[in-house]
Amino acid sequence: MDSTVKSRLKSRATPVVIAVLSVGIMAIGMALDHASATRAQVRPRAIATPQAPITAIVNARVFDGERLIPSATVVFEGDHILAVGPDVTPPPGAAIIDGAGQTLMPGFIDAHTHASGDALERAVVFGVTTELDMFTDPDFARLRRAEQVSSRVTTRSDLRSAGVLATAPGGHGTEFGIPIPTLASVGDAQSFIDARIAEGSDYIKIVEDDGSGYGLTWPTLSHEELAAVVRAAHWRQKLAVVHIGSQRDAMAAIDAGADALVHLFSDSAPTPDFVARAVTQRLFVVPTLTVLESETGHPSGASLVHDARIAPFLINAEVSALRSTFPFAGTGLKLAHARAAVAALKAAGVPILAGTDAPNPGTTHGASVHRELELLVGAGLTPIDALTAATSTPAKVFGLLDRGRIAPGLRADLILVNGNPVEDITATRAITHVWRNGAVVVRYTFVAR
Amino acid sequence: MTGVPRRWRLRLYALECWYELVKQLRMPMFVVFALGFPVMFYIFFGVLFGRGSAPGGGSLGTYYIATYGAFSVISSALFGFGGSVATERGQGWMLLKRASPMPPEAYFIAKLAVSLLFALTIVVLLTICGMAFVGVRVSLPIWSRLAATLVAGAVPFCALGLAIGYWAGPNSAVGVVNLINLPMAIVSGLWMPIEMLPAFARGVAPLLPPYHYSQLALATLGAGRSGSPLGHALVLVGFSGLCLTLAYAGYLRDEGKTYG
Repeated sequence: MDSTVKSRLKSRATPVVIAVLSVGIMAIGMALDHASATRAQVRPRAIATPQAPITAIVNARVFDGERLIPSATVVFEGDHILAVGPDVTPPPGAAIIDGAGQTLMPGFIDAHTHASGDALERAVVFGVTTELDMFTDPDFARLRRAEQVSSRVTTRSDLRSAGVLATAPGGHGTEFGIPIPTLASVGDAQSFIDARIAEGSDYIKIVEDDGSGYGLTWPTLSHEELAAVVRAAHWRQKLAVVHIGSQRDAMAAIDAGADALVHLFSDSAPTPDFVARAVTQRLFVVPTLTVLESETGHPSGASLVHDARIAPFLINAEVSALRSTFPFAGTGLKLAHARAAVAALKAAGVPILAGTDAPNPGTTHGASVHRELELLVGAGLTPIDALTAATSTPAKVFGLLDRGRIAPGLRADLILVNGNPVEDITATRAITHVWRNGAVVVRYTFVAR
Repeated sequence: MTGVPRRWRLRLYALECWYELVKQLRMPMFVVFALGFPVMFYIFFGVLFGRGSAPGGGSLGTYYIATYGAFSVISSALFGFGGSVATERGQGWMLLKRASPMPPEAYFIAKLAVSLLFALTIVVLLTICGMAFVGVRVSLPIWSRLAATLVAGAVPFCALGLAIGYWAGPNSAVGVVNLINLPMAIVSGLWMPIEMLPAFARGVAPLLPPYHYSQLALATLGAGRSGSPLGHALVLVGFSGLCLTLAYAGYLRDEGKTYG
């Protein structure tokens, strides 16, 4: 070929090559951005507002964890609350959020969950800023604990965990396909508990349930073993909280000296004796009406899926989880029994805590707390009592002194909702802002992009 | 290359920049389109909604500095380059420049320098408006990062302007710029946050360079949609390369017309 033709071809080809390369680079860039945007949709981000380290919420109703202030200003700086009250003036330079018509509350504490995977990210989206886990992989809890100590801005709710629960060989808790240590005899109790504490358990969860309530047969701890485990936990100054499946199990737990029941029962109406013993023992109770409802064959979360205040924030897996029930539904369990027990315990002054048992059938992390609050009010709690059950009460009984109330010095874990939950408890679902350690959590919606 | 001594060459570059700047400032349409409109829109939307909170965090007042800043920088780059290159081609200005001792690159470098200077002016103007009318408060380090991103982001749109300038006729260039600029700006979320746009626009936006430019600017504020800053940057680099190649092809075509 003639050399001038060659060089002319070359000079024509170079721009084409550069153009093709450029389009390639653009495509790679768009693909990277798309991949990262899609990933981010499943993970909420916490964002510290960079231009205003101090935030003031003005004109909002404030439920401070115990009572309702009709209109107040709440100021927080970084991860802690500075001031609360009707006469507080926002400092100059504070980012002002007008909360007129809205209600500010402490971030919710779900007092019965099983946390793993992205549970803590999902919980934050629905205003649950602390999860009290009642059995999970201790390695998961350890990772989260390290992060909680190190980081201030986080995308996850805070976790406290029981780690591995105490159950009999082959008992409830062993059926999930993960090998866990179990308790074989009374003599094992202290070494078993010490091993849990060494793994990092914040409190001790014990199973007392022979499965009879659900038409199943599970081995369970003998009353002597139960008492020994409770003593061993108390010896190490840890709370001993008990999973129960029936009123009989509940009485056994009380006999053993337990600090709390982390379920109520739906197999029989509460006896006056049960209520009286709960009072004298200074028991606290996490009824978990949500999961009990699903056990009776009604998917507890079904109504959440149709609630316009919740639905846009649910991911697909949560929608199907909220609609599901237990396989053993229809064994004569009645939610009315559990409701009656809640009412009787409340009347007797026993502390009630909001807990969901997420992610069991019919429940999910975060969203289900709003159903639990609704069920607690349906069982006879006032809305203020229900909100207290999800905020200051769990903080108090679990010794989490830095949260659960809106007060100077406490952690800026806050929820701002439209409307007034004290008039309509479901207003807790109309969340407009979640602050976690003082940073705004971005709540992605899952409508089509 | 010309045999002009080095220190004269520098003076030639400086003079070219200065006259380019003076020329732009003396064109009222340019100043109105590139500076007036974005500032007016910013004040209008900022005063109305600026105290609300922006998607992704922060206040809308600050958010709008990034998005109207991006819009304004793009407009000034497209008009400054696209409009002027096309007009000057039509006037035979290039022939005259060729006959002068000025190095040919000086023509483009002057236009680029003036565009970057305009970009900086825009960011400063919008920030002053934000602080005066909308109550915006931004810390200096964050503002510096925002300004640097907005100014650097002018480059790909100068390249687009250059390509338009070489392919569009002298009379149609302004029309072509408007035709490209306004729809692209709106769909990319430069006028109102992308979250407020219909689903169609949200689907198309990630294919448009202004979207990536504004998201990069918003990221300096900790606002905007999540996404990959590296991805945004790559899109803009690739886009610059594509536009420069197109401009080069247009330049060859132009040379062919004039001398071939």
